[in-house]
Amino acid sequence: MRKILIAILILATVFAFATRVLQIWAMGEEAKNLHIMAEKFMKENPGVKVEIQAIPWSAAYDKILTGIAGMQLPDLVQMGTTWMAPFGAMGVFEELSPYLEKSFINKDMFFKGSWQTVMMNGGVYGIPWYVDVRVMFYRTDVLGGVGYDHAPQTWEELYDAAKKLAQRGKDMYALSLLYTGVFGNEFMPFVWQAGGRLFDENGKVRVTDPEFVEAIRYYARFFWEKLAPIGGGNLFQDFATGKVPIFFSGPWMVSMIKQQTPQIEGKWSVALMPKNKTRTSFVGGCNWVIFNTSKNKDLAWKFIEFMTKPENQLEWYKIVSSLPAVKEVWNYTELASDPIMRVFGEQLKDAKSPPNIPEWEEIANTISRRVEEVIYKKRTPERAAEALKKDIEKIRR
Amino acid sequence: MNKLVFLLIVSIAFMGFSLTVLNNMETPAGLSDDNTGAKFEKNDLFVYTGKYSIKVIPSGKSDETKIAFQISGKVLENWIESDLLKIAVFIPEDAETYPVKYFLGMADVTEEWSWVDGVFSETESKRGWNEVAFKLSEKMKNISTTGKYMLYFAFIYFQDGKKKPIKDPFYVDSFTILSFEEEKEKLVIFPMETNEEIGKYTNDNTGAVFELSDKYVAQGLRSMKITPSGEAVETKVALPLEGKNVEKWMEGNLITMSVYLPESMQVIPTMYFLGMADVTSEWKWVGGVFAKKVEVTKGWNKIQFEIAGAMKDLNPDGKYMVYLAFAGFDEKNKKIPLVDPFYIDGIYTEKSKIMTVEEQMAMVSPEIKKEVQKMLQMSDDELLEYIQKKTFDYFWNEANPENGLVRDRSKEDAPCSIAAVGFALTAIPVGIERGWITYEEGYERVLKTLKTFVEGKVEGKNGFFYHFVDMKTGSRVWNCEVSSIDTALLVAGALFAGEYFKGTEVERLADQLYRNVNWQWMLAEDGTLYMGWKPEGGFLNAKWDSFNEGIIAYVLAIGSPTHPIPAKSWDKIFRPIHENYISCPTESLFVYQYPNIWIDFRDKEDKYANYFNNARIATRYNYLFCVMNRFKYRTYDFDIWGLSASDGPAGYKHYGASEGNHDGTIAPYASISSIVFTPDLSMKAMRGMLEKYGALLWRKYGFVSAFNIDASWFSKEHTGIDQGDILLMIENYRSGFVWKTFMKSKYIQEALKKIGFVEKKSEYAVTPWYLKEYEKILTAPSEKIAVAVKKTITVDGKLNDWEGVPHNVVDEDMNVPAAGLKKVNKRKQILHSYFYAAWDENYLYFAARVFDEYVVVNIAPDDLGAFYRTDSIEFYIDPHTKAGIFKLAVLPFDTEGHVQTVRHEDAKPGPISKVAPEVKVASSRTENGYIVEVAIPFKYLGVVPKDGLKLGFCHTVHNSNRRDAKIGEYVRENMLSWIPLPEIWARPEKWGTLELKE
Repeated sequence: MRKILIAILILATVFAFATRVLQIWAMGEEAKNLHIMAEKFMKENPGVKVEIQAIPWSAAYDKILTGIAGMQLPDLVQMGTTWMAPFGAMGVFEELSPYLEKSFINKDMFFKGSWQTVMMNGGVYGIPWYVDVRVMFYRTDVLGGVGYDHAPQTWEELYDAAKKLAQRGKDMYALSLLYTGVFGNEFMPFVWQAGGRLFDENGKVRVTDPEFVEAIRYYARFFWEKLAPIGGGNLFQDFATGKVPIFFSGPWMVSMIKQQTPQIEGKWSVALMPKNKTRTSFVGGCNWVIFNTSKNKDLAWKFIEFMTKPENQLEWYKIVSSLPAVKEVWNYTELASDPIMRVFGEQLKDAKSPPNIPEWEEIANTISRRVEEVIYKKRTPERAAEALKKDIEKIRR
Repeated sequence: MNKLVFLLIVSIAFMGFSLTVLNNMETPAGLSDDNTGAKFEKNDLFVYTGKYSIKVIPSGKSDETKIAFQISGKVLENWIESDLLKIAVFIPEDAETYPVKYFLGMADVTEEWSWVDGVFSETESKRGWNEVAFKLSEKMKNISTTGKYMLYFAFIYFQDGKKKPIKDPFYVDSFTILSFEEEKEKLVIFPMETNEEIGKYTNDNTGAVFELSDKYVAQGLRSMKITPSGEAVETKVALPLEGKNVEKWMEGNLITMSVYLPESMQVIPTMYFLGMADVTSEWKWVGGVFAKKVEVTKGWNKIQFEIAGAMKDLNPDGKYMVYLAFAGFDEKNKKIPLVDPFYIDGIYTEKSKIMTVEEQMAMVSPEIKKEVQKMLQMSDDELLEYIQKKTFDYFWNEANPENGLVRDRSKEDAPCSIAAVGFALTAIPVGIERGWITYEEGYERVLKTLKTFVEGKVEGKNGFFYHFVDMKTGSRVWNCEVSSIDTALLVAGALFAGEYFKGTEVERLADQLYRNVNWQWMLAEDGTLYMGWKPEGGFLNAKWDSFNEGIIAYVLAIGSPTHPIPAKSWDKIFRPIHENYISCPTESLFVYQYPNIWIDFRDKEDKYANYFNNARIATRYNYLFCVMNRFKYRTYDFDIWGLSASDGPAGYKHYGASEGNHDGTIAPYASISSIVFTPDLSMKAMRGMLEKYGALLWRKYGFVSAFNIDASWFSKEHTGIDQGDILLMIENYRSGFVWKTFMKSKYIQEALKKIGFVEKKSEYAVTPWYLKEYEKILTAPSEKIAVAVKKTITVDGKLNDWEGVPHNVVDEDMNVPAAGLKKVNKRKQILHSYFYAAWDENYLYFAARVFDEYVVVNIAPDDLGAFYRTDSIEFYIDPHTKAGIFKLAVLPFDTEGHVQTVRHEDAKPGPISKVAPEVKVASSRTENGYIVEVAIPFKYLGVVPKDGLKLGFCHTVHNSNRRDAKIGEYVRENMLSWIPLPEIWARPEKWGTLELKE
């Protein structure tokens, strides 16, 4: 019923004004809910019709690629941060500096790590929409059982707690380092925390630096000493039974734990990443990108501005609970008074994104391969780092 | 000093990936006989490398003779990077029993003894020295570098097909591991094997005496004993170098010689010199070189000479004399004569199996490099003309001037391809227009060609011709098919020539050729054209029933004045849409190009598409696909792109811009012939290819057929149809000549009208009507629900446990529409599946009982990819969680009768042993098909099972009834699916629902 009403409303607008149509491609949960914001935008902008095409994430890559091939692209698209570089390299994104000059939007409104993802070759090719950041999820009661009344704060504490947790009995583990998406994204925080990096200022590969190697060793040791399970497992089940009481993940996990494992309500919490030199985490999320084929760039920009306004960022947070990209919003009580969100907000201040280069995915694959070799004791961390260095140099040519 | 040591260590570390000696067999210490009773002795008679080898004295009782030793530490770092293990084995000439089969086994002895894997060598034994190679299996490479492993080498003799103990001793040496890239081929130039051979060697007046010896051998069965005169200051051997040996000589830049210096020697030769003279006509000195850093000691030594410049760049047809000079020195460093006999053997050079791009580039003649440089200076139009001319020469030179037949490829023994003739008939008028040949020459060639076909000098049937025919006789070769598409390309060329030479005999013959083709005969019951016919088996199974280059055959068939097929056949072609264009799923570019060579599809559309715009999008997609994959394959780049059917490092393949259908091989024609669709990208590609690899890509007739930088492979050939595509598409781009001329044909105009083409300018490829229509096909009813009941099932391949569980049906009508797949023929075939689902706390269970009149078993146990090639089933599950899509492909029986299972194209693809080890699976045969049972742990799906839980679900059945299926061959003919929608495998949003019920 509601849908029909909307349709009629849109139709009405169409007939009432000489309309301009703004086409948007959106993915996942965002696509399902974006129409709420679009309606508000249309109300504020009579004569504008927003068309949202929902694309499943699994089809998005091919959709964008064929869109570029057929030069049939929308005005505006939701772009995952790690896709910025590969698609950006195709030269199809509008450079936004001229728009920024005349806008309230500026880079200081956003988290540093998030802004990194819109910058390529000195240009600005997107505006952060929402962010996600990895934090530590842990079972307060289980940790308490081994003498930890707080989340492990440092690498030493995490290792110490892990040892104790694994000693609880047979098939008991401490933490899950299970990765589902791009492994490089899950692993890089350990490198950053150790003070390591992939490349230096001159673009030289630095994975054989002691800091990088230290990260590999620290990570692999959890597997070697059976503190983290190798292979499959059910994260929710294992978290609920306490078999694996620690894992690292993003904001979407908050509602999923609540839904999937209501029985541990009140027995879990989130915390900042453990500190070595820093507590750096991975920041991802999605940006808004205008295709340079768009005939409605001004309108597209207007929509970006609309979505960037703090009050709209907050509204969007309320709709889908994705983390606002605009820093100011984190001071609003809705977020500031939520103990879990406070941790995410705090973590965002120390979060990085992987290098914004088109070959990142390929590099991430080889990091995965080499670190796995260390986990399975096929190589020492040092030799794996050497091999990794060669891999990356080969990829970068 | 410290720093130096450090550097040394570093450099060794970096050399880590080079050829590694596992065991040099200098001493029997550490070798075990693994209870086979074999004895090992150090020996210096027969030595492959180093000073000694190991003489193996079998017990004479054990069925297998074994050598075992342990490896651990640093060497394992190289082991995991290696692909091959090689050992040298010497079988004495008089041995009656000797190893004929070799086995390498590996066990993990880090803690407790456990078996890793074993492989047989494919090397065949001969007497003398053998290099026995073992290909290391994935399991053997997948080890921990901190572990300890035992290697077991079994030497096996067979008599009358039975293992028999080896009684005679043999020798082993040099156990090394290496990667495929490091594999080198040994080219023995002077083997020192026969009296006849050493009879040709002279002593260059130094008085030395040569004698064949079987005492000390480093290569083959014999060596050459040199007895110096004791007077000459230098002892010399002069060896004639000619014929094949000259070619071998030029392959490498290092000449190696084995030298044995007996213990009793008084004067040791420490000077080794290799000189060379050209004796083709008169004696002429070429050059000489001393051996690289000689530090010989008694026993076996390897002496190496580096050859370069004039000593390497020989004339393959020339005759040369190689001089080896040996001398000793006294304490005062004065040359002194040798007095004692010594032995030399096996003078060889080595050739990398794979030469790097740089090495190949270095070997290209300077003229070609100069030519390429010149081309790069040209303007676009000059460059296009230059490429065209060179490409055109193929059709002029690689044709038989007697009958006009054109070679399939630029290889002397290649037969004629009738499609290449079609291209030639179009190319010749282009040559006339461009002034490369005269009108008369061209006319005569075309006339001859058409006469050959019309006058029955080419074998065929009902106006169609065999795909490949003999260049002279025109008769069928290779058992090939009477081909509908290749006849169509021939006819297109003929009609073009007819229009160009209007009012001449050529026009009449072309018309006759077209009229002769009985298209109706080629039409299948379902209204689509067969791909071909063979006298042995009648019509081929394959039909032109899906969108591809076949559309040009339909235009010609519909336009035929004598045997037209109905225009509605045009609508029988399945046209899958890839987002915004009609796609051939292999995404091979020629498919889009061919119809556009002759037919001017610009500003025209039928109810489905503007086929010119369609090709443009497909081309841009192909380009983007390459660019997006440029970090996976070094070949691809912004200016190096174009995936299409072509030669490749592993032979001819239907390469294209789709996953699993490319390997870094680029066909230059693919991007160049796209010039009408993507002028800028194509120009960039031409210049990019010339700039980066031009000297290796530019040969007799322009661009070679294909290349692959990742495999450092460059084709040396040109292919007729690719040449035609390049030449004609450039011509269309420059002048529209082919289009303009061909479109004058009234037959073509008539055909397009009948089909329903209208003139219309548009930006799109697919018409709005067809976009909607296809959407309807895609969204056919799919809201199906299957129920999983709560029950624990024993996975044993039997259906007993399933009693009382309702089954769901996938039947003969539930065909997935897709290119290359046929609907199940219900009158002739049985193919359906009853499937069941159940669950408990831990597992989701499925069973499928497949009814199939013939179960094809043609997949080997280690061939774990794409089971859908043959009889197999799949279960698709979408748990709607982060764990992602889970797609299980089950092969009921491999060639050894075992069930095999992989996760395929899902969130974590791979063999289940790796990616989902707790999946249980079993299969069994039934009277009328087979049963598959599986259990999938819920933890892989990331869900907690409970009543009412809903999962996305689909079940598919892949079928073949090919009784002659080759091992590994793709033989699938049908695909059934519970949700029978196009590309159902990739569209989880269209899957049905599986609901868990208590």
